[in-house]
Amino acid sequence: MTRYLLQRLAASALLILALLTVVYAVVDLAPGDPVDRILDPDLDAAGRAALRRSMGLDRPLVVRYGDWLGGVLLRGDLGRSLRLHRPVAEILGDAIPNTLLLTVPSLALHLLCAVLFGAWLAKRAGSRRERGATVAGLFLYSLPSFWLGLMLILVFARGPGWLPTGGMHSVGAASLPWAPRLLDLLRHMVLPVFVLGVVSSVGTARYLRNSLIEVLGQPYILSARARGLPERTVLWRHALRNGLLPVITQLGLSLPFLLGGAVVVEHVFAWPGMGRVAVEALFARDYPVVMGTTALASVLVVLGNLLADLAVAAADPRVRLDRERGV
Amino acid sequence: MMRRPPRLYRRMGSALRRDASARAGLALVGLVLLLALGADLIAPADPGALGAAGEQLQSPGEGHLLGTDVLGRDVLSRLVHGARVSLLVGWLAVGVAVILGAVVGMAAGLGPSWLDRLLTALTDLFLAFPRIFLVLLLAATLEPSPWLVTAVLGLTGWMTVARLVRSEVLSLRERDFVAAARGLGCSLPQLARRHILPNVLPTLLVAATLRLGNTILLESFLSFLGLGAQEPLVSWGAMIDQGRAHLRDGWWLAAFPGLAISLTVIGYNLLGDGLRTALDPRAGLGGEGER
Repeated sequence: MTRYLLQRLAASALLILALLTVVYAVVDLAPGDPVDRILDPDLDAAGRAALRRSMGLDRPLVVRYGDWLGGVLLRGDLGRSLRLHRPVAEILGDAIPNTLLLTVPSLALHLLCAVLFGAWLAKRAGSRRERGATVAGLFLYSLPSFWLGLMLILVFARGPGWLPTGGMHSVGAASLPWAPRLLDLLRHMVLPVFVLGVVSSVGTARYLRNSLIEVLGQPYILSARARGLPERTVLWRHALRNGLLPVITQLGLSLPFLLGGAVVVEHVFAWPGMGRVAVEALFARDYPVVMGTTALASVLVVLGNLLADLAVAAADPRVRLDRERGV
Repeated sequence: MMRRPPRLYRRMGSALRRDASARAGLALVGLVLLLALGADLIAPADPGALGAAGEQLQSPGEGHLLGTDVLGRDVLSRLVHGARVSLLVGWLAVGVAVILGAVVGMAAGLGPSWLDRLLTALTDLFLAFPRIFLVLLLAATLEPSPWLVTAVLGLTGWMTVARLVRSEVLSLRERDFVAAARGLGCSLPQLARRHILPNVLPTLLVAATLRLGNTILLESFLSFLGLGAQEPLVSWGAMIDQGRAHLRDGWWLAAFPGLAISLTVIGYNLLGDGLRTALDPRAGLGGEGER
């Protein structure tokens, strides 16, 4: 186990290093001079040269890269935003809690819906109703989430005003006592969490269904049934535990897509998180911020995969040997 | 000597005949393809033609079946023409991704073990990248265009295909007909082309169909952000963006393009799901949960 852990940690560290390198290379090797991006048409040649020197652009690529990487890894220094004139790390620090507030409940809801729907499908595998529910689920799965968000705003928020159209707080919510303030926040969360968490859970549910069906065919399930355990206990206690294992790995792998979904949902619902920061920085061509969000998102993904793998290894004694050979 | 597995194609064909939802998917896919190919003949009006005074923001009904936009352009005509961008970008990007994935997967599965390790590491590296952030990063540094979207979606979409092909090749490699071919002096490239590729082809077909739905979704989001096709090109995502400002006084502007995207994606997903069930009844939806 220790050896496996060390191996995985080393591989993750290497992966993060490679990702940061790719991020740096994309921005640095892109056509166009960073000086031009600061947009000052009045700058003469001498002024440009001075600006280049002050930005450190006259140094060789390797030196600049080493400097940037050192800053990121040692001091958590991601540079300064060209637009907001604040350190990127500070901007991201403000945005991350908001993104977590959106993604963590979404992930929980995602898992809950996936388990309920997946178990429902597995119990009725091969029946007409299962086929119908699968097709209905596929419909939901195929909706563009940004469009679904807009349509939900149209139906629930714009016209009848049942729910807010976007943002995290209503105007003046900051002065309310904590209980109505929390309620206000929850009301703002309903639509984005639904779009982010529920819609994509159809995919995970399908995955769980297949894994459950495989588990339900195993001898230990037969023996549980033979001992006269009620079908409910067999499914929820015995089968689900093993059936969930591949789903955990799957969830770790689907982290990039959850983060990507957060970009979409935050944009549509004006949620002040990382995705919104990234999209706004993109429109302003604010490179340090775009680089920072990409780097942070990739690191989160690598860590998510690592956690999922460790969770599976901890829960399933059969995994360890397989993995040690495989890595 | 086994050259091609007609059994798999037969199974796909009979799945299409038996499975009503796969048939419905095929019909949707065909319909949208027809719209894109015959857009000039089918569209009732020129998608760029500005309406006369008073024709702006007309609700769906007489004259304009799906209404008009802020500039008085016919929404139905724009919708029909928008199918072109979505399909072109989607098919090209998936083509690039599938070919790249097949090459990488076959090289990893058939090549020496150092190559396998190298390519697997590369695949993991790309998989760890949150695709949408990479796309945003590239779009921020380069000029937005449908070609950029195609290139980015193609170059960031091959990993799951590569994994799929690699594992398929690893199991094919142990089969008798491959051992026989090698024993008869078949070279590696020959083996890959004549014996492995035909056997991986059905898998590739299914992967491509399923990927198309997701790729079209992603393309529409990038167009929605203004990173894809620019005017005068029409794209569904950009139409939704234009409708966003008029959710209240022109709901049809955002609603219909979104419906068009949904139906197209549902078509590819139903078809792909039906075909995959025919090939491998145990497989899940979307494999790696692409979104």
